[in-house]
Amino acid sequence: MKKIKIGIASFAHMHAFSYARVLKQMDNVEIAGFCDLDDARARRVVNEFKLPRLPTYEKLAALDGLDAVLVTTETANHVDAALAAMERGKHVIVEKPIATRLDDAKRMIDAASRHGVKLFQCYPCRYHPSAQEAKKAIASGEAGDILGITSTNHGCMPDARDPATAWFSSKQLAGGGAVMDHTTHAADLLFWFTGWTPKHVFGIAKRLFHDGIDCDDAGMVLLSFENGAAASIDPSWSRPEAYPTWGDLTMVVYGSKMTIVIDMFNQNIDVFFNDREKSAEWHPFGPDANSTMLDHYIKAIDEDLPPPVSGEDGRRALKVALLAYESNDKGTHVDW
Amino acid sequence: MGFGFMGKIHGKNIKNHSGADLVAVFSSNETDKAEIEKLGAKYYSDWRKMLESEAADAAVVATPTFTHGEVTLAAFDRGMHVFLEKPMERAVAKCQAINKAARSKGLQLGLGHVLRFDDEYLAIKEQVTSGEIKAKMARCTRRGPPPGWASWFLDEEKSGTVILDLSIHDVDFMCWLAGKAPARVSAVASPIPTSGKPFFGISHVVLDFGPGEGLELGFAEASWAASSTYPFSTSIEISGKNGLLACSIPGKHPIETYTASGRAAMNAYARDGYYNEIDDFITSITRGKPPKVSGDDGLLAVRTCLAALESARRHQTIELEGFA
Repeated sequence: MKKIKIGIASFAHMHAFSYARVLKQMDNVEIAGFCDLDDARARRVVNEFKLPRLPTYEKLAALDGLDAVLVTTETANHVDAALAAMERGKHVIVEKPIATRLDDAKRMIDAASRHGVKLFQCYPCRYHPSAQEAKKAIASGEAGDILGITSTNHGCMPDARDPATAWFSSKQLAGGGAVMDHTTHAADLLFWFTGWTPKHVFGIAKRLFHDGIDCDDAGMVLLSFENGAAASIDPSWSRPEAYPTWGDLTMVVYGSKMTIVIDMFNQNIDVFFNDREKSAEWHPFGPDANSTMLDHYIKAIDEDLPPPVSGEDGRRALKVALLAYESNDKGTHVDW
Repeated sequence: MGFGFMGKIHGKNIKNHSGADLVAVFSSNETDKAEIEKLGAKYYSDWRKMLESEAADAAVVATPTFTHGEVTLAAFDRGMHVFLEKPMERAVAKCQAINKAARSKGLQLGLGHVLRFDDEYLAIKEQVTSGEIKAKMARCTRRGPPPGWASWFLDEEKSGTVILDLSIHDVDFMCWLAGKAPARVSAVASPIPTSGKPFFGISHVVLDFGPGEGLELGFAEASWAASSTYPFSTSIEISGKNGLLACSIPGKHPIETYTASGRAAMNAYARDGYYNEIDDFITSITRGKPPKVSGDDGLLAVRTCLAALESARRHQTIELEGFA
């Protein structure tokens, strides 16, 4: 069996650790090395994964026999790491959102096409069994005509005091706050489920819960579509620190023949501690969507299949978040 | 007056109230006669005739939304206090006319915004007022199948869509929590299949209360597009700097029973919001103090919901000030 050789460009996004753990377990994958510009973080990676460290994204991409690079830098730096890989003929798997700006997303999409490589966008929620089941019911017509969708992707605030997560609340590195971080998962599912084209976007972004950050931590996004239907996304970092889990992804899909209620991370066991500071937690069980997603992406590289979630998909989801900010600045709905 | 979904509930609660007698009921539906007489009340098929014939202290108006103004003003003309079901009216000007008449005649006017009398929502209000949770954002949902009991609900001219009929509960409650009117309203809505004209049956409303100490951002989803097997359900979440509070209905119950005909659940309190709002209205008459929910509250809720409807139609954010 041929092993797919992967390089990891930065562990700035904590999902890199989850992905690396999954990739390590896969028989047909070898993690060839990584590049992380932060020394402390790089030491953590070497300790946990015993991987060779490369000094630059260019050197990482130039590793002998490398097939693909997983780009998990801060969002604003995706484009540099991705271009370094694609220019050297490597496929790219990029964390969401694809970039902080639409033109960066376009540069990545164009580079993939110019260099004949694949660009995969990480949207693991598509691979969650609940989303798969919903997609099946919608695509088969069993759910009837889809009339409207309500969704949330709530989260706790990524800790601004922890160097590992502080960049999530940096406008420059993350491209915004909660609206940027949490609009796109739900937006991608919504597009994947319905195939609808938006017509107008309304967004409101506020800093309501946390002091000392320069970005929004609460908001609402409203979408109306060409076909007259409407949807909403609540991307707020409104879960308190002591919430039993990190957040949620919920979706109500109103079909003419079926109402689909998704509460993606609501399959847990309750855990209670004899501890005032940490009283209750929800511990998930069941299949891991990251693992299913990476399985499919590696298979697509191995068998030369089109990316199941493409750079275009990533760009479209990003556009929702960016238009939400534009709408917030203008104080009214904006055109798609 | 009116013996539909709400009229039946109010009729039963008035009959059960020790401080009031139910003397007469108007229903446009002749088949309601027996049920009305079982409540010990005289049946009328003509509401004008009922107002002329009966010298009641007060009237409960639970006719379709678009008739509220006409019926309420006629009751005021007969010197009756009025408990008016929500939404107050289909148009802002009619709400204003009702308020003007109540004031000029010195009669009590109570509005049926029942969430303000529901124990769950009162508990939430109490937590916010006491500062336990310093509310900054509210998120409400209200979902069920289309109202199958009367056709006027699915006519925009008559009901004002799901926004004015259903979402108004949460819109009113959030205004109450905020203690003020929203500065700006934005909404989107989906049409649902009906036999008539296109009709907004799913709505998403954003209320921007602007910067301040209290609630700044509100969201309400309302839907009449759920499948017939989906239980009517509501939820509310309030998040603030210091935490989050959440409540869903159907929720947790101290007793549930299951029989061949289905599930029944009971709450720990004896009276529901519908009883409490009628009790408040009756008390307001006997004690001569205004009901807890005023005509101005009813007007603000209607104005805000109509602004949301306008926003959904025009794909624009609507400034509430001056919107009529």
